[in-house]
Amino acid sequence: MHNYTITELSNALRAKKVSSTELTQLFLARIDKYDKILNSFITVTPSLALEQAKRADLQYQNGSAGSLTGIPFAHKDIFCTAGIKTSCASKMLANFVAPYDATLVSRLNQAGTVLLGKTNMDEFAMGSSNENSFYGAVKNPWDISRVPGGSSGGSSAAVAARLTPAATGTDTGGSIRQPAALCNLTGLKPTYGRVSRYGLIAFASSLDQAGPMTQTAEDAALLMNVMAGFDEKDSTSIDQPVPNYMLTLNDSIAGLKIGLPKEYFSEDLDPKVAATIQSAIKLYEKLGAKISSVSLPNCHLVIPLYYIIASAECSSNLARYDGVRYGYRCSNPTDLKDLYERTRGEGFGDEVKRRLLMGTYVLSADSYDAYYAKAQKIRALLIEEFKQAFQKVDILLGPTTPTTAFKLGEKINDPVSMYLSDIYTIAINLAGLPAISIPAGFVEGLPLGMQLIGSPFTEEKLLNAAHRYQQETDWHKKIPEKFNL
Amino acid sequence: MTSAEHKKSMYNNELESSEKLTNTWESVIGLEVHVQLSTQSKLFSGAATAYGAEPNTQACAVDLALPGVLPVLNAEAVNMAIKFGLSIQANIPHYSIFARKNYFYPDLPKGYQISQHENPIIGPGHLTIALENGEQKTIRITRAHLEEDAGKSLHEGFENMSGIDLNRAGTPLLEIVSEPDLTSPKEAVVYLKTLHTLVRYLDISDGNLQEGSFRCDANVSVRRTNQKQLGKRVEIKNLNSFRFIEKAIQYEIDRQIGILEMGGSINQETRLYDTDKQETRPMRSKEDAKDYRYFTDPDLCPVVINADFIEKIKQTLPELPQKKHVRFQTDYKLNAYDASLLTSVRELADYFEEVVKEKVPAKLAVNWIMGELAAALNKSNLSILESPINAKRLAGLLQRIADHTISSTIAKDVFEELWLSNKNSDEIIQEKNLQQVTDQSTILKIIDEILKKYPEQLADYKAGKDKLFGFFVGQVMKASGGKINPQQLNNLLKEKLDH
Amino acid sequence: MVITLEDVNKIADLARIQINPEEAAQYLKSLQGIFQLATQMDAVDTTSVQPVAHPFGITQRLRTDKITEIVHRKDFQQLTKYTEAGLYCVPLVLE
Repeated sequence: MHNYTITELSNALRAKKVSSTELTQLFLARIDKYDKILNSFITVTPSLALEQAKRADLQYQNGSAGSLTGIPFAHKDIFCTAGIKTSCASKMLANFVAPYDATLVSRLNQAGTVLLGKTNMDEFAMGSSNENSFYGAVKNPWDISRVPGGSSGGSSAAVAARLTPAATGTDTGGSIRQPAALCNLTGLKPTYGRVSRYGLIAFASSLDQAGPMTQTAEDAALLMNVMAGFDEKDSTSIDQPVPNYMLTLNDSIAGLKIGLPKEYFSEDLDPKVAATIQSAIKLYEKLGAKISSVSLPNCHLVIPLYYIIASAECSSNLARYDGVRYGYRCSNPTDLKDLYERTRGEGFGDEVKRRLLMGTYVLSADSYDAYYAKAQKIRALLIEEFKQAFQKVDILLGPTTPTTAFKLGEKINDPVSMYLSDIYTIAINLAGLPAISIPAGFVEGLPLGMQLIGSPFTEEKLLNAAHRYQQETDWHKKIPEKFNL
Repeated sequence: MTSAEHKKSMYNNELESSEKLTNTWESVIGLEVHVQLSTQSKLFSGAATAYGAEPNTQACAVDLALPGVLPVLNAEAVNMAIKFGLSIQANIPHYSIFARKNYFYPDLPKGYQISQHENPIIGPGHLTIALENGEQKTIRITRAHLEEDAGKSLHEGFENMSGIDLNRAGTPLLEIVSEPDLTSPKEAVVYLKTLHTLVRYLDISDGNLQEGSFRCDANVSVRRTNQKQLGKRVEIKNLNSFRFIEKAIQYEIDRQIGILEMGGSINQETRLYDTDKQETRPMRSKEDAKDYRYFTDPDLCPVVINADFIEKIKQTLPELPQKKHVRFQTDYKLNAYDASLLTSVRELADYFEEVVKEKVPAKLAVNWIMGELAAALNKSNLSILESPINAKRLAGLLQRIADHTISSTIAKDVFEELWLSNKNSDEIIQEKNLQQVTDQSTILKIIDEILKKYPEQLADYKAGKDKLFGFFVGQVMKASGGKINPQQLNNLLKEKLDH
Repeated sequence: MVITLEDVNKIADLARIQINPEEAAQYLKSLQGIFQLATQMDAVDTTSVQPVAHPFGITQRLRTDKITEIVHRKDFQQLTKYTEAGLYCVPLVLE
C-alpha cells in the first residue's frame, strides 16, 4: 500500500482493509529503511504519529472519520508544529521547539492527518537544490547522485520514494513546483493569499505560499479543500469562499483555451525537454483544448526582479534571529554587537548570508531607487502582462524547469547559474498567480514536469486540467524502482 | 575651567553688560511627540497594553517576533488616529501604508519597527495655542502617524548585562510632528500642554508622562534674526516632564548661541537631557548616519479610509477644549483664567457643568471646585473622577451657601463631613445644627453681650482704633459658633458701633 | 551601479553578520553577478508606472480592539536559557 494515493488510502481505511495504525507503521518502517539514503527527514515523530493513528482508528470505528482521517503525512520543516522541533534546516533554529501550530498544520491536524515527521529543505527556503541544509543534502530518489530540487526537496524526495503519501511544501520562487518536476510529483502553488501564512516561517512575505505536494491532482484537490481558506491571523489572507476542488476535477476541458508563452519555448530550450512538452500539448489538443501563443515580454527580467525583491524582504524577515529570545546564540559575546554579528555569522549558512547581504544592499539608501523601487515597478508591469494574457486564454502552459535534475554539487558554487534554474517558475510568485507542476514524461530516465498557470483563484481550473491529463497518462504513477520495494 | 567654559563665562559677562547680543538671535523649535494610545490591545497583536505588569507577561508570540508570526492591525488605533486628525483639521488621506524601519536593538524584537514613512495616516493640520500674553498662535502640524512602541531595557541589579522586558513592545503610538514654528521654550511648553489636554479630551491617551504615555523629542536650532536659512539643528531626546523640556530647550539654545558667537559650528546630533547636571550632552552610543532601509511592509496591506468612515468617527468627537473654553466664558460668564482652569481637564469641565446644572451660581462653583475640592483631591492624590464627593453632592452644599442657609466658613466643615461620609449636606446641617443665624434680634443680642464683655476695646474703638472692628466681628462670630451671616453681622455691628 | 569590497563590509555591518575577508570576496563576486543581471532593468521605461502594493489590490483588514492573548511567560521563556527574573538577558545596552 506504500504506493497508494491518499484517495486510495482513504478508501482502504474506510473499507477497513487497513487501519491507520498499520499504515503509519508501514510508512515509519519505510522511513527507517530508506531515509538514510535520501536524508529527506529532519525529524521523525513515531510516538506522536502512532498516538494520532490510534485516535484516527477510533474515529473510523465510531463512524466520524473524514476524507483525511488517519492519513500519514509530513510537513516541510518550515511550518511551526507545536511541541516539535521546527528548524527551517538551519543551525539558527536547530534548538527551536515551536510553541504553537501554524494555521495550516492545525487545519490538517483537525482533518485527522497523522504526522510522520518534518521534512528537510534548503535553509530558510533559500535554494533550488536542497544542498543548502544544515542537516545535509537530500538525494533525488530517481538518481541519488542528483538533487531533488528545492527548497522543498525533503518533501519532494519523501513523496517520490513513497516514504509518505503526500507532504506540504512552500513556494516562493518555485520551491514546490521545481522539486515536484524533478521528482515526478504533482505540486501546486496556490494563489497568493489562498492559504494562510501564519506559522509559515517567512522568507519573502509577498511571495511565499504553502501548498500540497502529492502523487496526483486528485490528492492535491483533497488537501486543498482543507488547506485553503481565510485566516484572520494573516493580514494577507484573502477572504474568499473555498470551493470544493473535488467537484470539478472531472469536468470536460473541451474548449479550454491554453496559451503558450513564446518566451518559454525559445530556441535555448533543450530539444528533448521541448519535445516532451510538445507531446503533452498534443494530448491537450486531443482532449479538446484550444492552443494559442501568448507573449510575456518582460519575463526575461524575472531573475533579477525576484532576487532583488525576495532578498530585500528576507533581509528584514530574518533580522529577528539574534539569539536573544530563542534559537542559536554565540558563546561569550563581548558586547551587544558581537552577540548579533557572531550569532548571525555562525547561525546562518552561506546562501542565507549571501541573500541577507543582497537584500540589505538593495534597501540601503544609495541603492534603493536603482534596485528595489525599480524592481517593484517592473513587477507591476509583469502583473499587467499576465492580466493581458489571461484575457485571451484560460491557462498558460510551459515546462516547469529548463532541465531535468542536475547533479549534486554541479551548481552549488555558481549561485547565478542556480538561480537561472527557476526561470519558468519565478514570474508566477511575483504576480501572485496559482500554478501547478505535473509529471509530463521522462528524459533519459529522469522525470520532467509541465507547468500550468492560472489567473488568480482559478485553482479549480488548474486541478481539473491536471487531473484530465493524468487520466490519459501514467507518468505520475511511476515510482523509482529502488524504493518500490 | 576649560577654555570652552572660560569663553562661555566671558560671553555671559558681556551679555550682562549688553543685552543687545541676544536680540540678534532667534530660536527655531520643532517638536515630535509620541503619544501612547489607550487601546486595550496592541497595535498588531491581541496582547494587553496595561502599564505595570510583570515583565514579559504581556508579550505574546507576535510581540516576541517568534518565527512565523504575522501582524494584524487594531481598528481602535486607526479610529483614535483619525479622531486626532479631525481635531487638528488635518488632511486625512484616502489610504495609508505601513513601512518597516529596520535597525538592530534588543528592545526591538523583529529587528524592525512597523511604522509609517511615506503615506502617514494623518496629513498636515494645525493646533492653535494661547500664549501667556493672551495672544493666539497657530502651530502647523506636519503629520501624525501610527507605529509600534519598543520594549524596555533595564540595567539595575545586573552586572554587565541588561534585562529586556517586551511588555511595551507593540503598544500603539501616534507620532505627532510639528513644523518648526515654535520660537521659545515657553511656547514649546504651551504647545505641549495644549496637545496633552487635547489627547486626553479625545480619550485617545491617558497622557501620563511618568508612565511614558506622552514623550517628547525636541529639534532645536538658532539663527540670526535676519537670517533666512535655518541653522543646524540638534535633537534632544528623552524628555519626560514639562519642566525639564523647558529647561533642556533653553539650555540647548544658550549652548548653541555660545558656540556660534565664538565662531564655532553646531554638530547636527542627538543629545540627551541630564536632569541632575541640568545640561544636554551627546548620546553615548552613536550610530553614524542611521540607514533605516524603509520599505512597505509586505505583511500588511494599505489601510483605506473613506469619507463614511471619517464621518462616523466625527460623530464621536467630544466638544474640543478650545470650543469649551470659549463657551464657558459666554455661557457661564467666567473669565478666561477660570475657564482655562476648568477646561484643562475634560472630566473637570464635565464636573463643573454638572454642579452648575443644579442651579448653583457659576462663580461659586468655580471657587469651590478649584479651591476646597482641588486641595482635598491633591492631598489624597485623587483625580476628579475618583472624588468621594460627586457633583450632585457638592452642588447640594453650594446651594445652601447660595441660599444663605450656612456661611462659607461653616460650609468648609460640612465639606469635610461630605468627604468622609455618604450623607448629603442637608442631613449634616440638620444633625449638627449648623444653620446660619439670620434673626436680627438674636444677632443684636450677641453683639450686646460682646460689647459688654470688652469695654476697654470698645473705648479704644470709639477713640479711633478702627482696626478693632475686626476683633469684634471675630468675637461675635466665635460666640455664635460661626453661624452668623457675615454680611448681616457686619451691617448690624457697624450700626451699633457707629451711632 | 558598481559594488565594491568596502560596500560588502559595510552591508555586513548593517546586517549584523560577521564575515571574514575570504567570505567577503566570495560574496562580492556573487553580488556582482546578480547586479550584472539587474542592469537589464535599466532598459525598461518605468517613469509612469506605479509600484504595486499588492497583486490583487486588497486592503488591510481591521481587528477589533480586545485582549485575545493571555501570555504564559514560561511557555515562551523556555525557548532560551538566557533569562533572569522574567527578563531576557543581553550584554549591557548603553543608552
